[in-house]
Amino acid sequence: MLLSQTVGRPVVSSADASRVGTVAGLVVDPEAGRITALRLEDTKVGGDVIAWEDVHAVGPDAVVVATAAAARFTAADSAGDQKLLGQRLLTELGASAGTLADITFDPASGLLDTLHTSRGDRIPGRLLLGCGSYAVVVRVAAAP
Amino acid sequence: MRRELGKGEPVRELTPAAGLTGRPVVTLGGEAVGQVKDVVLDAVNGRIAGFTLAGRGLFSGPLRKSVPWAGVHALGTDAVMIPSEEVLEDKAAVTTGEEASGGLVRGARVLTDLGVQVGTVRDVIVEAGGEGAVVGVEMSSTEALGHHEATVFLALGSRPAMTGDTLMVPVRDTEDVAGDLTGLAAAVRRRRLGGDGGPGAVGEGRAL
Repeated sequence: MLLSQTVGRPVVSSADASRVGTVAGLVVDPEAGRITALRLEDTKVGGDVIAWEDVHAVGPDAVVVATAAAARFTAADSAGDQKLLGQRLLTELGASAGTLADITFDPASGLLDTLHTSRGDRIPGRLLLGCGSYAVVVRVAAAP
Repeated sequence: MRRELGKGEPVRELTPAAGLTGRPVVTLGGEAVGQVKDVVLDAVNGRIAGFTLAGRGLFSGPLRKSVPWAGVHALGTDAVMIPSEEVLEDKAAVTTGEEASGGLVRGARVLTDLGVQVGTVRDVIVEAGGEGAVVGVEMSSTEALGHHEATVFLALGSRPAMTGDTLMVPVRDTEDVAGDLTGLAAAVRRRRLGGDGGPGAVGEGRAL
């Protein structure tokens, strides 16, 4: 599933079918190459981040979360700096690889599958090294 | 990460040290810790000793931190990569006993081992990638090279004989000066294919 298509999707609670917000972005753990949380906007409850474990399904029309309780929402902390789409991409060797155009991920496991660059390159998600406020850094694939 | 430059090693992007100023210093986590202010050279080993840092942005001043070369993950064309902010050291750790490149080499005379001055150093040329090697100098030539005050590029051996005001080179190296960075890259490649340019190269042109 493409991140760009997920952003803007409504987030609905499975407990009472209430709309809790809209998907604004992802929080990822670069070392694990996986999504740890969804960042929301237009929320009607306190926080704006919901843990990936609380995401029940990422469907074509809505993201369903298993909780309606505001207590399950946490405010964005250090992950608040993480910007993914449009962020500059650097290799670990300090060379520019364009910007991050999109990410495909597995909606069931939350694993990042492929990073799509603005130059049309595709980088396996497992090569992700870091997502900071300045750049997304990727490992250089080992020579065969 | 750090390897000796071997025979036949490909030549990476060559950059005047002054051109590294302003390049962002970025952790592998994607955070920028600052930008390169000055390149500090390790003249004995012909390498970059480290970088002093300035804050990012047009009006930011120098930072008290510096990056020792040992803490550099890679010197890239678009950024200097470091593993994390933990490699940053106090500014004095890098600058002790050394001068920033501006003071150390710029203006130094280039002398052959026959005692002929062939030029004055304008900047040192470093190779991007993992090693931080000083591979050559950009200099203003003297009449000894045929043209007075022409800008020429001279490839250096892996351990150039260099003090604060004098760089000594084997006289045969001055027969292979280049007119631009592309020519210098070719000269560096020729040296590597030839496998010469190692320690002790100075002195081969002894006058009898």
